[in-house]
Amino acid sequence: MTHTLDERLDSSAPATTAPTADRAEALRHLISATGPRRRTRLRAGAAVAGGLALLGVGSVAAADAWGWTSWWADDAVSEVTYTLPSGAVCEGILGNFRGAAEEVQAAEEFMAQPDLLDRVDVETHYADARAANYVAILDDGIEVDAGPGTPYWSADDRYAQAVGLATSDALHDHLRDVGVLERLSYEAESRCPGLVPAELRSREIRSDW
Amino acid sequence: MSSATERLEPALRSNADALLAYLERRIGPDDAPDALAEVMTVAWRRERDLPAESDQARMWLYGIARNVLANAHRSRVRRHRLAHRLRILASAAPSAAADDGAEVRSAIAALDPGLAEIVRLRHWEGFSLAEIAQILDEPASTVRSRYSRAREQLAAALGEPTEAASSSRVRS
Repeated sequence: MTHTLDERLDSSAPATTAPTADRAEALRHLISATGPRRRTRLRAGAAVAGGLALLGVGSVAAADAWGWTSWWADDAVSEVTYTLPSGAVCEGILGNFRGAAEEVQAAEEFMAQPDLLDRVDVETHYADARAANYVAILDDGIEVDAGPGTPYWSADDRYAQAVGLATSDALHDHLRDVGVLERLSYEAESRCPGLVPAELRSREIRSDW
Repeated sequence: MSSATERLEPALRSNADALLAYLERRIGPDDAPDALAEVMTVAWRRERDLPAESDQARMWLYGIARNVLANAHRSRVRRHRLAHRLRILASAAPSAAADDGAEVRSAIAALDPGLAEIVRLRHWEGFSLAEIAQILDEPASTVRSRYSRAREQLAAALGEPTEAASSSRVRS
């Protein structure tokens, strides 16, 4: 029975799709797209004012421990890790890119670059943030200065915003340069412990930044 | 790029077709691309665990695929955007000629799931029993005895002569 049974078992495998050149190309893309490039962390360029630095260290496992809640988190294009002025570590993910196909592809490739921060000018954005005017509205309606050096200033909060703005600006500049910018949108989720002091959370602060 | 990364990419390239076929046989061509994307994602996440030898790396990848399948059976396969193009290509690609193995597949499916998986890995994927033992992370002796038991049950179910189950074709 051995021979017949073996033949019957061997030939019982369900049919599979046929390999083609297009499929091979799609597989190569899938290997690349699921690989470390899309999990790239923003790396440090030059240290920015105040001794701040963006870090490219840490493991994916550590990032996973953050427990992202966005539905697209498992397909995030980039993972971002950087230190805040306070020394706290801020982590974020970027994903759910939407728009025209060429636009999305170009955006994802741009955001996944290992040397992305060479193209992202956080220092200038943070300097702009520090130079802007801020006004806090107190409980009695009086307006007071809320800029750097005041109790209402959160360097961590502004720095995190500068990272986001710098990244977004660089991305849109790139898409314009390659002529594919149409209607791109994407989402970010970040975890920045202690980013905003409790006394600032409910305080209205206006700025011209 | 780390050494593991340098080794994982060629390992994925050389096994991608076989892994996709393996997944297609288990959950069908529509869901297989998504499962493959999940396999690759897990492999990259665990790249430091990649065995040095290519044969061992192949077993390691199939072990990941098997775990992904176990999860896929528990819940609907999650749609990966990254697998979308591959899914379209797979659905458009001509399949192999229809086979007449339905009766045999039914007999395999009627086995205890653990026995059925050994039979499928042996006869559909072409692994030796020693390799299957690695994929399943079980002792080779256990896999051999379970395979022998599966063959006896299949022979009875398919009306084949119930001779000794040992086979010269069985690689171990």
